[in-house]
Amino acid sequence: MINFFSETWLLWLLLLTGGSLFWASRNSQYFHYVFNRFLMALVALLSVSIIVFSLMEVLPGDCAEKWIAYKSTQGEMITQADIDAERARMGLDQPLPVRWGEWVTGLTLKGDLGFSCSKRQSVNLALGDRFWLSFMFCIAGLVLAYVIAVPFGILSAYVLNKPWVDHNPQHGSLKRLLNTLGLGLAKISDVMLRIVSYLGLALPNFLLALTIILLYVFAGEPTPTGLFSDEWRSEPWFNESGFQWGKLNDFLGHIWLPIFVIGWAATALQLQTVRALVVDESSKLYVDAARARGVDGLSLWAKYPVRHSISPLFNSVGFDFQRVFNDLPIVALVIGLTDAAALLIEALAMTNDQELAAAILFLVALVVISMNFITDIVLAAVDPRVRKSVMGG
Amino acid sequence: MATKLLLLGAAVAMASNAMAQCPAVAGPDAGGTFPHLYELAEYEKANSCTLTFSENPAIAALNARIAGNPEIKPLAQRLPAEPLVIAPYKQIGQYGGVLDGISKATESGTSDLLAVRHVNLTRFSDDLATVVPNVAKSWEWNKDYTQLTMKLRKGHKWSDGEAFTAADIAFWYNHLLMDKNVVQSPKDRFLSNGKPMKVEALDKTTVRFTLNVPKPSLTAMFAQDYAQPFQPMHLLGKFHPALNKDADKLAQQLGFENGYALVNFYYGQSDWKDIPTPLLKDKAATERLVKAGLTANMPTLEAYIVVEDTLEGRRLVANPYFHQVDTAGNQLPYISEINEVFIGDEDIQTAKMIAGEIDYKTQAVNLPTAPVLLENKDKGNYEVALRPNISQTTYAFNMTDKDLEKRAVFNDINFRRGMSLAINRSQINEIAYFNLGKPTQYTAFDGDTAPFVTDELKGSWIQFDQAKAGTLLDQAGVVDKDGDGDRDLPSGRKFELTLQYSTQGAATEVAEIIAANWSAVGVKTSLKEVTSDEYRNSQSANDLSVLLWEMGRPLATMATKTEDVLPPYGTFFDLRTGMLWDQYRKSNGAEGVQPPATVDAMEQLANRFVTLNIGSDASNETGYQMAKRTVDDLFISGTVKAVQPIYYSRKLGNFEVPKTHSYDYYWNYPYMATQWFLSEEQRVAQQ
Repeated sequence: MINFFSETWLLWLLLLTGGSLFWASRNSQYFHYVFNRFLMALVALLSVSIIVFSLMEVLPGDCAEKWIAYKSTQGEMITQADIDAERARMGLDQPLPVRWGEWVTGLTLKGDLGFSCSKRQSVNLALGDRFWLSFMFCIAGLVLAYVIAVPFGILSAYVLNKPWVDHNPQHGSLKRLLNTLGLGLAKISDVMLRIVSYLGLALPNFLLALTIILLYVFAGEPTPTGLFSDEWRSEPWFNESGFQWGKLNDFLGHIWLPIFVIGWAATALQLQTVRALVVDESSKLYVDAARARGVDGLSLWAKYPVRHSISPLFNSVGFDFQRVFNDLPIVALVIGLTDAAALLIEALAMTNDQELAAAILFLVALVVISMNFITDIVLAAVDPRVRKSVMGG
Repeated sequence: MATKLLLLGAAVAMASNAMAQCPAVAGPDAGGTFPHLYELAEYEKANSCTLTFSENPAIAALNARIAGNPEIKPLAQRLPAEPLVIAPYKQIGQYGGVLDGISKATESGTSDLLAVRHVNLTRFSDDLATVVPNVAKSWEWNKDYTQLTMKLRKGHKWSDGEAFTAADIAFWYNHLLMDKNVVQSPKDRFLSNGKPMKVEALDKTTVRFTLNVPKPSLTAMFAQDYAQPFQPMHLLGKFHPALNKDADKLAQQLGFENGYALVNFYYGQSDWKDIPTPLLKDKAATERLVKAGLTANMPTLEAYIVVEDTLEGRRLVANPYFHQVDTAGNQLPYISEINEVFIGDEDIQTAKMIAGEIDYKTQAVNLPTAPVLLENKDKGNYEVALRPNISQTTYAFNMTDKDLEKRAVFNDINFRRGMSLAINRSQINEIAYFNLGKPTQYTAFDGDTAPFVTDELKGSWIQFDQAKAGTLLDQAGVVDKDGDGDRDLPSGRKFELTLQYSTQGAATEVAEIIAANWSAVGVKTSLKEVTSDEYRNSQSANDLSVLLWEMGRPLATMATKTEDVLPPYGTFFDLRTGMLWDQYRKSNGAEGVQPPATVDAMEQLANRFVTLNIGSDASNETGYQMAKRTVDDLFISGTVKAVQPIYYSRKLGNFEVPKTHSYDYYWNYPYMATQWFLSEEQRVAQQ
């Protein structure tokens, strides 16, 4: 009995969630909306699984052939018999619908992502914590991007069309000097940040990572590749004397590079987005009306244009995640970090590992769809405009 | 007290005098029956001495890192009674240190580090022609080369201290390779004439291979093979349902589905040795195994054993039971650990090499990085040697082209010779290989290591002579009929060639120069770069008129199979021409196109060659005939044999620079990485 439930836990979880949402939706318009979104998310995921699975089928060759061909580029000698032997071992003789059916059943019943034919182990184990590692990279990169982009995007919008020198005759000379200094500082930091952000947009990520690593080489320092240095790699997090701060230090010393690299381009884009949104809002009539009522300075900006510029940002977290994830593989490759993105590249480009690639793509889609699902229902809960528009009520 | 110590010292000195200390023989020319090798008895007899053994002082600590390995035994109980004595290339080494290396990923670009720890029954000596003992002590063939009897070393032990016997070899063959639950279908090279051989353990140290057809190259095959033809029966046999009726139950108690699942967990269902070890596959499961008194990884006979395995790298420690000692009695290997990190990007790899962060790298070091590596070698304290590849970029015309008129032209020897003379190989050498390569004709063998391939053969039809090329093309009937400056087919039809290539098989520069050279003598040639998949599929589908890919095999491989000199001359992954000839031969003439008589003559030579002992006069003579016929036929033509860099730290002692830059012979295996050592000094490696 316990065995049966442990074999099918995910299905029950999904059914339970769906069931309780359905129950709640009978007399709540809001939960009706949530239930619909839940069903739509499931349908979207199912179609994603079909698409990712059959996309791999379109590629020439199968896992056995690709993987062995890849081995042969390493210098080993390969015969057709070797390929046939591998193909039989990998069970690739089954037709596509059968393989997909088995994969999707395992997935919905117990979250089993399948078996990686080139890694010779279950995808869950092969991926292990790697997906979460990538997930955390992306989130950290995004947080970095938002922390920098939102305040400076607003600042950038604020100083737009502002003069460098305060000429206001109503201000005393000291105040004018102070204002001029403040304006100059704001202008300069705006220009600098915009230069940096254009660089971030223009510089390919892998080039940035390579350049940083080369700087280390020329400085004669050990290159910050991987997650840990040799010294700490095999040390446990905890030993007799308690938590090893040295290991955390070493970890942070390595982890900043990927986060910085993927964060930069994202920051650049967000900065431009925030700036454009705020500029757009700040010239609207309701802001002018507020200004006419005498609202001024920080309170004007914070309450009026900024407040309305932020919710579209919040709405696009899911897509931002996906965009950042797209940058991850090449960076991971450069800094020698085997995260989910590096595994995806390997599965797609080198080994044609259908179930591994499908699993990773599926997980990325899962994150995007879940994030959209969550932002949708949260926005609907907090923003009356959204609630009204989506529910027509 | 001081007197006592002195007395004791004198007593020790006297005792060792009585036993006669063995001389610590080393140097490039040292060795007994085989270069650099002695059997213990042979060494002691030759020097009338008794070898005393000593060990790496860190060996107990290293042993403690092998998860599940029992407490270490004294050295005398760890070494075989008949250890293999190695005379180092230069000097007796020092123990300790970590050999730093780079691979691309868990199963990618790993084999040149795998070769550092690799052992097999036999080994190729550094002359790349003599097969010498390693795990096997000696061997004997019956008269017609159908029965190979190998003697193992008495007292040889696995890395967990259990006895290694002939039964472990029979177990590997009969219960892993031949069991469909473990290996779905065995690789062809482990079969004899397509059927299983008979592998039996006659006693603890004698194993016999009985073949269905003669194959004297079997010992050479073991010398080149990355697979380990022995597996620990004391461990795997416990969980093998064919050997133990409680196997499934035992495995289930350890949390595995059944016995085969556990066997596969250890063995990895494959002979690739770079597959994930149990430590990477499922660390939690290895902890259960260790708790049950088993080792986390399978015990090995290799010089090092994996103790950590992650997606970022591997860490290995010296095998405390390794069967080799140096001439001073020190158990090998000298170097305590290997640290392998995975770097996928070539530029980062180069950066790490320049910074001197690694000690040795051959595989995937490409010629374009040579200048920057050479420039920085003092900064990083390393050396770079350029060594020839075994294969080279070759081209061929499709001898059974779908277009009948083109086919007829391609079958004219004058056409093939003319096209070969039209190519400016020194330009290829200059532009693609920085003038470091050597223009070489394709002879099927590796001309640099096969002794019978003469310079005359290597230099045939490779001089750049456009005038003579024109004359030969005229003789082939390929002349300009319509006066547009380009040659046409004999019927007057336009003659255009499309050179499809993939950068995996030929550098773009090489393809460009060939196309330009051919166009210059009037055969209009255009280029098209495709993916390797696309190239391979169209080549095997007989859709291409010109083929361009790497070809060339070492002597030892040529002696194991005939297919490289017979249609279609290569596998799916090589260069292939004459697909329809192959079809004709396979179908006994029912389909396809009949090949010319020279193919039959070549078949006779090749069939004879594989029954001869490499290096014998008969073998060399037959080999020469084959190489000559290859050049005379010119079905496949060579371009330039390139070189590739070999990188090694100046601190790496006893490093012998390999003769070739190639996977064949298994990278550094012929040059005995077990006697490398890491020096405190800045420079011990030769230049």
